Amino acid sequence: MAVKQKESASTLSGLFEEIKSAKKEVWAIAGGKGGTGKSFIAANIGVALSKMGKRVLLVDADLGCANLHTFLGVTPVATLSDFINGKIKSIEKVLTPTDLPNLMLVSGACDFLEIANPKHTQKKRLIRHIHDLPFEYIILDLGAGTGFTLLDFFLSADTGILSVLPEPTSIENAYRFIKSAFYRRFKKMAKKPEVKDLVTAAMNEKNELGIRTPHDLLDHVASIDAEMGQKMKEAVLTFSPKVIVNQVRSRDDMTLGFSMRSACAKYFGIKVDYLGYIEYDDYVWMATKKKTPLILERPYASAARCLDRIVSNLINKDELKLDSILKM
Amino acid sequence: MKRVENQDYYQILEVPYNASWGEIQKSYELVKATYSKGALATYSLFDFNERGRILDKIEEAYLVLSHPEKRAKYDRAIAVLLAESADAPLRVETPTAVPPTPPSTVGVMVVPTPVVKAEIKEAMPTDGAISVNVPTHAVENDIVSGKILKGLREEQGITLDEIADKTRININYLEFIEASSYGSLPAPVYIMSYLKQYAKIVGIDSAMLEEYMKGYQRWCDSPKPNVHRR
Repeated sequence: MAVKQKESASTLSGLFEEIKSAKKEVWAIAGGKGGTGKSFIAANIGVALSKMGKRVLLVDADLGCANLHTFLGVTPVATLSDFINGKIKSIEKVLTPTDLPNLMLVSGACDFLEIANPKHTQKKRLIRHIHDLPFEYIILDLGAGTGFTLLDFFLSADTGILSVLPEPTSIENAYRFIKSAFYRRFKKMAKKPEVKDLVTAAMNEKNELGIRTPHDLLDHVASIDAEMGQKMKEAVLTFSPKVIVNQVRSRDDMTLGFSMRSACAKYFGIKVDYLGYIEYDDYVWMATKKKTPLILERPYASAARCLDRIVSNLINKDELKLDSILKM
Repeated sequence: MKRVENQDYYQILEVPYNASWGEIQKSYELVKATYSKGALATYSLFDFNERGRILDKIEEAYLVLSHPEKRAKYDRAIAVLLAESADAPLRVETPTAVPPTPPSTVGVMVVPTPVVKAEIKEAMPTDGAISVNVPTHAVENDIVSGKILKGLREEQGITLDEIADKTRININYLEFIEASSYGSLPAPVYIMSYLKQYAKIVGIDSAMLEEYMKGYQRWCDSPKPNVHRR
């Protein structure tokens, strides 16, 4: 009887896998600046989803400075560096189980210096293999900075998420990240060398062509190659990163996400969704010290509840409403 | 999405076309604070002059949208222009790229500011011809066509894929709705449900949906040519 049950369960799960693999979602979390809570957010979003019964994979794609495993309190058996340098052929073997049955971890590389900058083919292989893994949600925790590897991971995801702090340094870097990701995508689209050169020139803020905003760039591209200009304009419509404001202490901090959404629409011409904020909460560092995800350690802490709201907005493809803050 | 100079008042204030007075008020206060001196979210992207220009636009938009009569006039003017622009492909906004068209159509991408400044009356015929019901150069005459819906959607920078993704409505049906291909649409009860979901995302008033359904009804009532099958 037990065997029979097991069998039917496995065929069932097989069935589900087929259905679910079609609806797989890859989310990437970046932020430009370091220390904005990317790994904290990634770990807790992963835990929240797995608590809902979703099958989740967390990928520590912070090549070089990985520490997502610490947030989950696990020791990885193998890391991405083993996969990148070919020691392990199949990426399934790199999966590290966590305390939660539905949550798996691919730990990042923390040893070799050259692993932080994998070759183009290695990178492509890595991205392809990660996307092929049979999970409902795959969450990529990206490192700080605007390196090409990082940008490619970000652009490969279905949803790109930026974690920012309500501080000038963090906001500046977030905008720089958006701009870099944006231009990286344009450059990949561009076929003609003169269009590629134009995009490269535009990335320099004080360029001689007088290209200040992405709008200027698109106009310039259109004047060289009308078809490509049109294509890029359409690409702008589909580039829509999401923002989380972390360590919020005041109402002004909370509305910052709306202001960023406005600035991105008016400057970059892109639609940014404000997923929500995370309140500053002492339980966060306490949980981190204990190497336990906040959502498990203190599910009713204010920061944990903020994270729940963010997860629900992500799943429902929704965003924070201005009303929810102003009514407070 | 368009440059600030070419955005309409709703885009400037970042509210949907069916925004209530309260929504407009709240959003106005937020965007005003966003572009004020030294604001965290904007200081690194816009210089002093740019911020000033944006703030001027915000005030201008607020003056019209917060005033019921002015807003109603403005709404009628953009409804007409949107229906026209839905036909044209996304145009790149260089002056040279704009084909020589009559001023009212060129205005589509460069609209409504000048129109409203001239108090619309002068720019538009006044005899009731300016309303959502205006005959577009589309198929049907005095109803909201799929083109208007499409225009509104594109104004918001929302793609059909996005709507299909969020609502799980077959994208073909969404396309049929926007193309006003009534014959290809499912039963009215489904159309209404699709329209409601569509309207929720794009931010369209339910009155417009009723107008759309009137067009559908008219099509149902009209005699159809017999299709000869072998």
